[in-house]
Amino acid sequence: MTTLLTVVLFGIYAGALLSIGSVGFSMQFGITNVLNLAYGAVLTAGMFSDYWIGGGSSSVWLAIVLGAVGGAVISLILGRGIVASYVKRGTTLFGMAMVTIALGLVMQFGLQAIQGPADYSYAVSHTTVVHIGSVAMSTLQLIVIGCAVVLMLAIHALLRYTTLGLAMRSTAADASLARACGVPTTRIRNVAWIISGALCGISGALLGLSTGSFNSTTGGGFFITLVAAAIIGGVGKPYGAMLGALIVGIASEAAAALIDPSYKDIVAWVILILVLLLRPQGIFAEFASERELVA
Amino acid sequence: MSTAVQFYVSSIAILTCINFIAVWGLDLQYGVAGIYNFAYIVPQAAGAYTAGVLALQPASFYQAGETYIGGLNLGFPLPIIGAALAGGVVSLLMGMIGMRRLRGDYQAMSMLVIALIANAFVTAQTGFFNGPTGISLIPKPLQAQFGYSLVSYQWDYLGLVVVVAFLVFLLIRNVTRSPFGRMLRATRDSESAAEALGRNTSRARMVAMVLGGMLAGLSGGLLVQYIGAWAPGSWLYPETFLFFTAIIVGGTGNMLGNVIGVLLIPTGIIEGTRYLPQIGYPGLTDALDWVIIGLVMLAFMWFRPRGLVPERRRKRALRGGAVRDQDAQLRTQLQGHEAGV
Amino acid sequence: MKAASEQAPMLAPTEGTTAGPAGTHLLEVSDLHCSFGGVQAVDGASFTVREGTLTGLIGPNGAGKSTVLNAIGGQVRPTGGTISFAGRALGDVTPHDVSRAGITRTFQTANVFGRLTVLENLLMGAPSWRGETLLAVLPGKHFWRGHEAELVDKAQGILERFGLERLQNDYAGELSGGQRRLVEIMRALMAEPKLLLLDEPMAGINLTLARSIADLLLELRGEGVTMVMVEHDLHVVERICDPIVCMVQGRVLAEGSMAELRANQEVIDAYLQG
Repeated sequence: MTTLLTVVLFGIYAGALLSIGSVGFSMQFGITNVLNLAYGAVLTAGMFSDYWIGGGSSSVWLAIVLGAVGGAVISLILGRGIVASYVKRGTTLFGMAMVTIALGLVMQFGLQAIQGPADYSYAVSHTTVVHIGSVAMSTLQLIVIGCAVVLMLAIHALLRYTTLGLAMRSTAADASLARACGVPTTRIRNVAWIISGALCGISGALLGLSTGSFNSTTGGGFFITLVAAAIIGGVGKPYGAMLGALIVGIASEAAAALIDPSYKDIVAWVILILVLLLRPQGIFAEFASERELVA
Repeated sequence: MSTAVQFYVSSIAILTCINFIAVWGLDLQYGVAGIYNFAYIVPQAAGAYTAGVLALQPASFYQAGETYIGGLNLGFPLPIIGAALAGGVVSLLMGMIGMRRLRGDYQAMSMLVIALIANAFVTAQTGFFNGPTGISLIPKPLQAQFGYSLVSYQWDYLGLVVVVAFLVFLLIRNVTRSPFGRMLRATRDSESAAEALGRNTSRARMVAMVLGGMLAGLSGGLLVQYIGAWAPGSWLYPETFLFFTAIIVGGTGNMLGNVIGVLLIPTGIIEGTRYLPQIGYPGLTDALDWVIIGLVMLAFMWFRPRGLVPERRRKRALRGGAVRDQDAQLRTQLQGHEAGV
Repeated sequence: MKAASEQAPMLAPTEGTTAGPAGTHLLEVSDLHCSFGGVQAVDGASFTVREGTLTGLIGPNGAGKSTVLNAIGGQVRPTGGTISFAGRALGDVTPHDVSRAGITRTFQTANVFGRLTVLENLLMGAPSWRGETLLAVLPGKHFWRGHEAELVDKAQGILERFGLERLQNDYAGELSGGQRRLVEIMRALMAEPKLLLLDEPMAGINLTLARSIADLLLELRGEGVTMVMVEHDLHVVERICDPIVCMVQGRVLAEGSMAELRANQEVIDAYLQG
């Protein structure tokens, strides 16, 4: 019973941590149609933003805000400045995967060159233990869950009830039609890069806070798990990504409890492969053909 | 040449030739057959591990607390052959999972995830290949024949690797210039059209996948028999990216281009900087290498995405014969149209 | 071209139809249904194609014409009904099986091998042969050189017939839209198909070239090639197609010559003036 409760609670926590980044990834992909494999490096950069600007501040909230700002700025430069230029040049979808991997490597190893291989950590103070039934969770973990809930509600409200959200949804559904109807699709794409970058940065900051210590490679493995969540939910569908994150979070906590902690990530990735195998049409239906890439 | 210089030159030459084999295999998949295999390092690793455990004594023999399967203590060339076969089998499995009809970037990503899973699994399951520490002290092949002198062994091993690379060159040249190679290129350009013309494209791509994987395995076998150790850290996913960079810089679908790419990227940047005087903290040069490789890739994707020596256009002599009379009229019409365009 | 029975053992015989001399039914589509994503693109279409005819398939946008062609070609799996070709059932087979049974097609948007030369595109039109197997790789050139030379000769003959021999070494991806369509047709002819499916072969190309293609199709029909053509330009259809099948909303509304269709009030309401 304790095991079950542990799996569920920590699964929700892991899912919450994943959901923020995976919704950002999903949204940016849906709107720009670029599979951004540099997202993991943006995540790591979000982790370090607080370090550079706030000097490793002891406030969780400052770390989150600085992570969001850093992620948004880097993501905008990356998306608007670099990725869009390649798209304009007619780079293929596979070529874009190559370009974004290259960008990710440049950022990750550039960061490593600057920061060195040493581990960093925030001076966190929110680690009071709270007992839920027989399970002990830290306040930080509760903050993560709270942040995720607030952000998911905010994204939901943005997409559902605002003109900007409507424009984003219509650009994702059919960019050329949206443009013909007067939606400023280029500006919408910029907004998508900014929002996804901010979510990515927040996700990075929270990951950095949660793992305690981090270095330039921390974002990499987490990024793939986050992509797994996004794809299980259907890439380009923010609500799917939330659900996917919860599934992946609970499944990997279950794997950690039942098999071995080293299987946490493997299980998430295997679920991803299973989705690819069993539902290649189902989830990928709308992406089965090579949609037009638009700058 | 002094011993140290001889050692340096011969070891770079050996690694370069091994990389030729690996990159040719990947370009067969990517440049010729159009498979976006971001998990190419996995069959190479499978080959390396297989050759390693075939050549090693059983784990109990060394009393070092290592755990791995096999330990058959086989002599050359069995570990290398086993490596190629293992690479082929692993590629077959990967192809069955990752080569579904997905758009290009999805295929690349699902392959990437397969590479991550394989690496994490081998790291977690210490029983197969000694987990995170990996296998080491793999005996060098043909030690009795090549002699025990370090430098002369280097040159002899280089000879062996050159011979193998030349055989691989002949094989791939035969593939690419044959009608089979043309069918692979056609599948790459338009799978639907090739299907509609009666080609079993899934099978064709799988053949390319397995053949390329066998070459990856072969290169892994040759590599591990030379460097003597193999661990999860030897086959992280950026290694595949390194091979892709070599192909894109040198030239896609062109073996000469591949050679130039290998000389510039893995040899020039990675091996070339390995013995430079260290700057900064340990690992800084490695990190900078990767930054440079990423920037080179970005530059080539921007300025010259088909590489320095692109795929050769396969021209044929025009036929000299006269045009049949009854079609002369149609011909004039069509040419009139073209002139208009 | 070998008989379908020899080439395609995977196709099970069906009852009720028989392949026979010219004029008999080569292709029978009956009660065909295709749907994707909840949309019934083809909803009970039935028609037959007699050997040696150039059958036109017309109808408004969304009538399901291209889907019918895709179902025959194996690109789309029908959800109901049967397709039988030369007495054998199609419908649940892959495109390459369909091709091996003797059906070749062109695509709505010209589908050429972009980084292959025009000549190589044509060579891909020939049925697959032993030179295209991995086995041909090890023995080397002498294993496939002979047949390859025959194919090249045949392809160059077709190129000359179209007056396009000087394009043979150009990359197909660098040609104009009209030239790509020609490459597709020439490539299809390499297979000497029993049935040639043409999906809007004249869409998006200029009038002169369209007329040349129309003449060419008539010439091919004279040589006994059976064809089914989807086309929007009714003047072209009237000139070269007989019979004509008119589809509306996934069903066949009428079948006959253009004159007969023009006299049919239903066709006028649904398509010709609608």
